Amino acid sequence: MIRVAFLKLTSCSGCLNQSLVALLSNEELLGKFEFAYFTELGLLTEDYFDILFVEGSVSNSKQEKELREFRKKSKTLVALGTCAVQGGIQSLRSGEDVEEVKKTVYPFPDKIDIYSDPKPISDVVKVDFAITGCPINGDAVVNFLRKYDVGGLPLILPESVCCECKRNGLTCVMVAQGTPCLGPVTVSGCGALCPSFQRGCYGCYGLRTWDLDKTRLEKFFDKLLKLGAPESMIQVIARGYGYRSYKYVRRG
Amino acid sequence: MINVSIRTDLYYVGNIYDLDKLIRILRETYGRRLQGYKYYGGKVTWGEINGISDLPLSVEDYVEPGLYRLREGYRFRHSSVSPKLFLLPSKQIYIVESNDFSQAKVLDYNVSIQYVLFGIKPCDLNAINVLDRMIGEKNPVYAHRRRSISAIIVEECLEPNNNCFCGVMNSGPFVEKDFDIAYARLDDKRVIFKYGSSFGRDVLSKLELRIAGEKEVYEYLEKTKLARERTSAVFKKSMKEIQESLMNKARDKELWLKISENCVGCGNCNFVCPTCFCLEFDYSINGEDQGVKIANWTGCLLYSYGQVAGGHFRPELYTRYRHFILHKFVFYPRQIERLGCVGCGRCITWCPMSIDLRECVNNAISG
Amino acid sequence: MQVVNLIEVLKSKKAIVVRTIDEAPGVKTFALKLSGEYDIKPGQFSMLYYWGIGEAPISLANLPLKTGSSTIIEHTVRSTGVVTNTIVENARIGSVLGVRGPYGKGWPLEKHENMNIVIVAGGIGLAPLRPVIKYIEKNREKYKDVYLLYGARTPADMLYKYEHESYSRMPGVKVLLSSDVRVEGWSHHVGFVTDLVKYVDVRTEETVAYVCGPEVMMRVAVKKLLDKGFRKDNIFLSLERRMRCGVGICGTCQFGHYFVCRDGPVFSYSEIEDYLWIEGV
Ligand SMILES: Cc1cc2nc3c(=O)[nH]c(=O)nc-3n(C[C@H](O)[C@H](O)[C@H](O)COP(=O)(O)OP(=O)(O)OC[C@H]3O[C@@H](n4cnc5c(N)ncnc54)[C@H](O)[C@@H]3O)c2cc1C
Ligand code: SF4
Ligand code: SF4
Ligand code: SF4
Ligand code: SF4
Ligand code: SF4
Ligand code: FES
Repeated sequence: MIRVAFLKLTSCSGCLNQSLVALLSNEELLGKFEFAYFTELGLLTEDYFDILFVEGSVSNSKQEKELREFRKKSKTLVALGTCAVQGGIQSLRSGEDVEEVKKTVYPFPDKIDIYSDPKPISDVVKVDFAITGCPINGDAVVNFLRKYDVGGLPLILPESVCCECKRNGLTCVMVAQGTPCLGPVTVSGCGALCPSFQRGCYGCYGLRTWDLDKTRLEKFFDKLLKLGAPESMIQVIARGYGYRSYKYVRRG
Repeated sequence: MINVSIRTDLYYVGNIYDLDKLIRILRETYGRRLQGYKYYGGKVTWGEINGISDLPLSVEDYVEPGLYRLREGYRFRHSSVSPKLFLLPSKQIYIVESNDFSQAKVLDYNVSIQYVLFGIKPCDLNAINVLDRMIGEKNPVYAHRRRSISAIIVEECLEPNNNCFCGVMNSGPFVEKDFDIAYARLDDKRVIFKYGSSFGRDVLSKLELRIAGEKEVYEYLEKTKLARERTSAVFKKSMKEIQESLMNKARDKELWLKISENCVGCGNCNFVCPTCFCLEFDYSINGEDQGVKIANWTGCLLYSYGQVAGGHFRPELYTRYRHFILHKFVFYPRQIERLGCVGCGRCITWCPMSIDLRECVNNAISG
Repeated sequence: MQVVNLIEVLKSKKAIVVRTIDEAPGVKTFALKLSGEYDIKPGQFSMLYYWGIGEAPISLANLPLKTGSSTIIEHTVRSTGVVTNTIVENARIGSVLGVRGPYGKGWPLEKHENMNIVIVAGGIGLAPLRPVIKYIEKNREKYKDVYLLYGARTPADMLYKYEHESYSRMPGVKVLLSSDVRVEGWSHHVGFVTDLVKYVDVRTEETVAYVCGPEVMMRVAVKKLLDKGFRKDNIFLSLERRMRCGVGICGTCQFGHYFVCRDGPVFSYSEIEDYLWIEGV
């Protein structure tokens, strides 16, 4: 049996839930994998793991330590979801004064121990594989496990959401309705969920930062602004889903 | 193009309800199934045509680079889909194999139904011709689907849209061969028909249309001529000069960086292009422990195109954008002896960054 | 015209690993047994399929051996990505891999009878050239002088080290080796393999060159060979591009207007002169 653990850091459990639903609807996997550590299910065996899925970003030194320890016990570490991969929603506070942020949110701010900028887990430990999404697509976890079972890994293809949008035969909301859409600069994997409901993609799978440079991203954001996207939208996107790129792209 | 003595006996005139009759005859008398542009839920997509209400008869596409609006009218040109969706589907399941390769199954591409492509555009017909030469019998999915097409009915364009440039690419806006029936809408009611094969003639004879009058034929030819002219005045040089110039400048990195500076590599242009055929293979294991080989659309504008383990054959976006243009204008002719672009303008319409292929080509050859 | 049969085009044949050889760090040679005929020629390639994971184009690395009702072929695989890692890590004697092919145009050996042959190989690039050497060995009388210029980053990265001796024992065959970096005990050339071209002593008009290696190395090799007086159409290169289908339908292997899988992977320099010097074409 292949031993699997799910570790949760700062996150909403959305990715864990997606994984759980996907696992339960693919029963044949339950015969091959043993789920050893999954706090949501009350599974707490901590000795060693073949696969460690980590949800969430690193917000404080306690989490950092826990993550390092779990890494030592695991053969393969998979970053699960945009928080773990790029920082996620909680990165919205990146670049702000952390004490101010605490005051606006919590009644006893001094009890809150957090870094000013949340860290993607790759800042702390070696990541063997990343599954992006906010939340992730459960099929990606199933695909990962099936491939792991025969001895390999899935192939990562850095594509835009537009690819899935067009393959699914959807009509582009940006071109046909003038709705701002982040599909062109966002990593694929969701199956173009938002455009299939006539909405613009809001970038939850993360910005395609590795093959887009600053000027191109800025040009793209300018285009969104021209279509009437509120400036705050750009801020949310760039910080929440493009943590790293936010440091150099500023629009809105 | 306009003959001195107009042969009116080649043309027939009817109205839009004759299109309904045509659909019914093909379905009922000939037992065919129809595929074409389908008006559904306020959009024009691709699908099965069962009657006149499926046709986009009372809408018109207004386009600009990066902009598409469907509005009331009677001059539908096209949408983001094309016959490619039917012939070379975006996801092609090839084969399902057991892990010891003792069993292999092919999924459902033995099409025995006889299809008719209904209402495709002249540029679409030319795009099919490009795919025939490029993919033809080699891709089994394409081959089977192509063979299931027993007839082609084309709707010619008397008023191209802003992004159409089929004229200069010699792919429209009218057809002269490789079709069974072609029709054009003289106005919102009158439709002029012609046939291009004996099958087409047989079918048309069943519609009991009246032979066109000289005035109607003249009107048709005059509009066709204007449409051809409108879609031809695009490039600053002749096609031969364009090709030479593109090749000469292929090494000019600065030039191509400039031309592609607004592109974000989203790949929309490749996906909507009716002649782009590139495929990405995907391997997975299904719930029954069978290995599945699938092909999905991909395109040269995507980063994954040319990406390999530990390296990349076209890491820079400008090289991929350059390949898009060079492929259409220079490499297709070397591969299949005809241009790969049919001038449909889809890549211009559906580019979220409003990049205009015509402008890029003009800049490349003059820059 | 007959519609191609889907099964025939993309189905993999079952291949059983009958032998594995560790060549260099992360590089292994696999001898694969297929039932029936598999008529693959030097320079051609197969798509190796690790079931459920994916396929990768891999060149023939030895002449096929027909034994009764089966054929044994060899493929040398360097682990670089998803598929090759999985193969190198997991495939052992008895493992089953999928094979489809043979694909592509190989080295035009038959056309070059009665000529001198200069082989220039860099790193893993020796794999597709090894069957050439084996072919010459078997048909020694058909070819004149033969040079093998082979270089790798370090001596340890070299393939088929156990046979280099036997190559140089063949009559009229000169083997010149090179290591990019200086290593204790290395008595051969230190530098790039292309430096060795200057030691080739042949009448270029009756000589062909077969080159395979990283693209930068091939470009330098072409320059040096041309300088030496080689004719453009006597220089042959085996190119690498990203490949998905191997049969000319996926378009991802395009190099200029060529489909490397179908029109290559072996090209004469005169065919690709227009493209070789354009970055990312
Ligand atoms: C004609 C030809 C012959 C080759 N012969 C050999 C050989 O004998 N030995 C050897 O070790 N390597 C050879 N290669 C390179 C080898 O194919 C790649 O290293 C391998 O495909 C990497 O696949 P991957 O899945 O491990 O990498 P990933 O990048 O993770 O794989 C993704 C997919 O991309 C494609 N791909 C990735 N890299 C390449 C590449 N360099 N060339 C073509 N397609 C690629 C494959 O379809 C692969 O399945 C050859 C390549 C070509 C084109
Ligand atoms: S709707 Fe969005 S994701 Fe879809 S094609 Fe348009 S821009 Fe891309
Ligand atoms: S659609 Fe436009 S932005 Fe997207 S890849 Fe094509 S040219 Fe570039
Ligand atoms: S390149 Fe553009 S204009 Fe030409 S056929 Fe393709 S989509 Fe149409
Ligand atoms: S233009 Fe690009 S995507 Fe289209 S067929 Fe050519 S290489 Fe493929
Ligand atoms: S490109 Fe030409 S044939 Fe195609 S829709 Fe436009 S006018 Fe019609
Ligand atoms: S590998 Fe698919 S066309 Fe060459």
